[in-house]
Amino acid sequence: MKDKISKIGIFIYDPEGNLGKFLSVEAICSKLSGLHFASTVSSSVRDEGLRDDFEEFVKKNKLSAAVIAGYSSRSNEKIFKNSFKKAGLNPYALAFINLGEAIVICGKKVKILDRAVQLIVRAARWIENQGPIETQKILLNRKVLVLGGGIAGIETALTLAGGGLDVVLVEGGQDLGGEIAAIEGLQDFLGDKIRALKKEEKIKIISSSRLANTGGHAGGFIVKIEGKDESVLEVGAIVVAVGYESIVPIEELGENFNSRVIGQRDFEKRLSSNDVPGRICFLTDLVDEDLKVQTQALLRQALAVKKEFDSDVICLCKDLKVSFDGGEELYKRAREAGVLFFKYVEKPGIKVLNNVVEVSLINEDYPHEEMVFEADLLVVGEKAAPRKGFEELAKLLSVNLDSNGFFQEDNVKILPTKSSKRGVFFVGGCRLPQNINETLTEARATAQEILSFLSKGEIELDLTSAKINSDRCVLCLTCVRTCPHGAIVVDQKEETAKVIPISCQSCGICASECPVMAIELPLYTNAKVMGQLVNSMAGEVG
Amino acid sequence: MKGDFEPKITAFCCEHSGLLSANMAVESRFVFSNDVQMIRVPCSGKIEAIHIMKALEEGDGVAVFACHKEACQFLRGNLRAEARVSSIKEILKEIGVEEERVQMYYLAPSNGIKFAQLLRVFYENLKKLGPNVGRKVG
Repeated sequence: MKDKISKIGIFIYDPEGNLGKFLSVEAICSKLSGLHFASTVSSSVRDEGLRDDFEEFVKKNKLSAAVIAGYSSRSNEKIFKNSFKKAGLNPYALAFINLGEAIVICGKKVKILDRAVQLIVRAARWIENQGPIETQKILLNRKVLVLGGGIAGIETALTLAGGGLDVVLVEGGQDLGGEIAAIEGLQDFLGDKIRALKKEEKIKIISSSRLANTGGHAGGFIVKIEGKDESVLEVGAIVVAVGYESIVPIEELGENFNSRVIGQRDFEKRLSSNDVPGRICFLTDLVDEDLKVQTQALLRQALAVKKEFDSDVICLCKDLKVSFDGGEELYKRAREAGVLFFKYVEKPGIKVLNNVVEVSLINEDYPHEEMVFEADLLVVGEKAAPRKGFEELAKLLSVNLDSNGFFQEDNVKILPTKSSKRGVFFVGGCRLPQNINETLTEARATAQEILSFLSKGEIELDLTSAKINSDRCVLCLTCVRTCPHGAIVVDQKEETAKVIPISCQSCGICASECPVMAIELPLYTNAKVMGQLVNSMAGEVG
Repeated sequence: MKGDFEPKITAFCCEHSGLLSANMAVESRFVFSNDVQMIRVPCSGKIEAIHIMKALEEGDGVAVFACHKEACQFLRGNLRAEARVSSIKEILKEIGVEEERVQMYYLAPSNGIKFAQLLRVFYENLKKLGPNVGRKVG
């Protein structure tokens, strides 16, 4: 054992003097000296000092691996990794430990010093047999497929083309524009966008078509487009911007649904054809209570009716959600213009008698008396629902849908438009119903992400992805099913499952599920974990 | 005799929650346990059944620190780990080892205090249980 780990360097640093209070670093070094470790201590506070110290340390001792021990070593990982790489060494043969652990885990029997040394020895064992990680160059196709010709798709395509990538935009219907084409006041904005889109040479628009098949991986998807003409393309990334469906909540309205009760989108059409009666009642939050798109449409429409037609406008809602751009302002203007707002808690009663809609509700402020409103027209907030083809599309792309049937992002906090499969992105309403400004921001952010990924045309990958031993693989397909990133495919020729390195995110789920133990993660091999368990528990230090 | 007993704990920590919580606990100086070995894994779904069994063979208890349900970085890794832990508990019952020796905990990345508390409770429980009968002798 002693000979085996002789080339491992131990680099202890204590920039803030946290360790010094509890541990004598010299004592650690003297304990370790029997093990033929090369060890050094740095107390540099500044990053550059730390780097210089470490580089000198690497140069002086002929190392193959190193243990970095500090008080909170995570924050400086990059410095050490870069220095190691610079010296031509394997950056994965570095172990980082937090010597603070020794201070907080000190029992009656174990002394802080022993514990610190134990931590260092364990870490050294973790990396002692770490082989080099190969790298692979992967060519990236500089073409992007955008599914959906709504505002999300259009904006993404425009930004991508502006960045110099080729774009193929596939729209299921005849016309571009999607849902917002129906909204008054946005026609000019949309018209400009579509004109710009058609003018752009880098963008190819295929209408009345859909995605029929996909294969390959990020940087080299092979997609089949079906429709008027069939075509097979190779693209580097896929953007899903297929929007969502807006449905009038017929079930919740029951038998009261007739021509006097309409949805928000139908009312939009009436607004543009100036067919607006004298008394209008808006009712939102019947379903989908956390949809701020509903509130936005309500405020916009109520204000427009009040201003242009001077109708009596009453808005009934559970909660007004004004957390969108200019929401508060819009609400204030509606109030000032004379729109009345009432809050309800329990579902209001709706009756239609002699072409007059009667809405009755109990207001929280006057709980003893029922309020009754009469109106010529009742406009109901619409609920958002996933489109019909979502499941099929998710299966084609091997991505996931959430519990509501919308596309599930990989991480809601870090670039929420990323999917669990690398190279596939969700933009706009197909992920979460949202308003136009948010969609535009999302589309641009996604396009930037794709640009930074594809622009170079090639990528050098460290092959830390899972590795499948083809001799052992019995093609049970467990890994193919369990992989959350759709990164494992079946190689028919060689009769084995195969990992696509660019899609793999090294989570190791396949490795632990494989019934014949044919899969290993290079950085977390079975032998390494077992070695930790057996050696450390023996209780010997050094 | 039981008072002197110091249980040996292996803690498998998911890089995305357990490990970060552990680091936070360390940095805030919460003293959590007397003899614990933390093993870092990229996802709790990576923890193999054999690793947990081996850890039990060499020690007294195994704690698995995973992300909250539905918050797994890799979608369903923590659910897989949960299934594995419960199947291991079944095996332990059959062979006559207390099933409480393997525990699964769910943490957010910033749960330093909770991490320390959970480990403390786990440690106290193991102390009550006494030495692991399934532990390798010699």
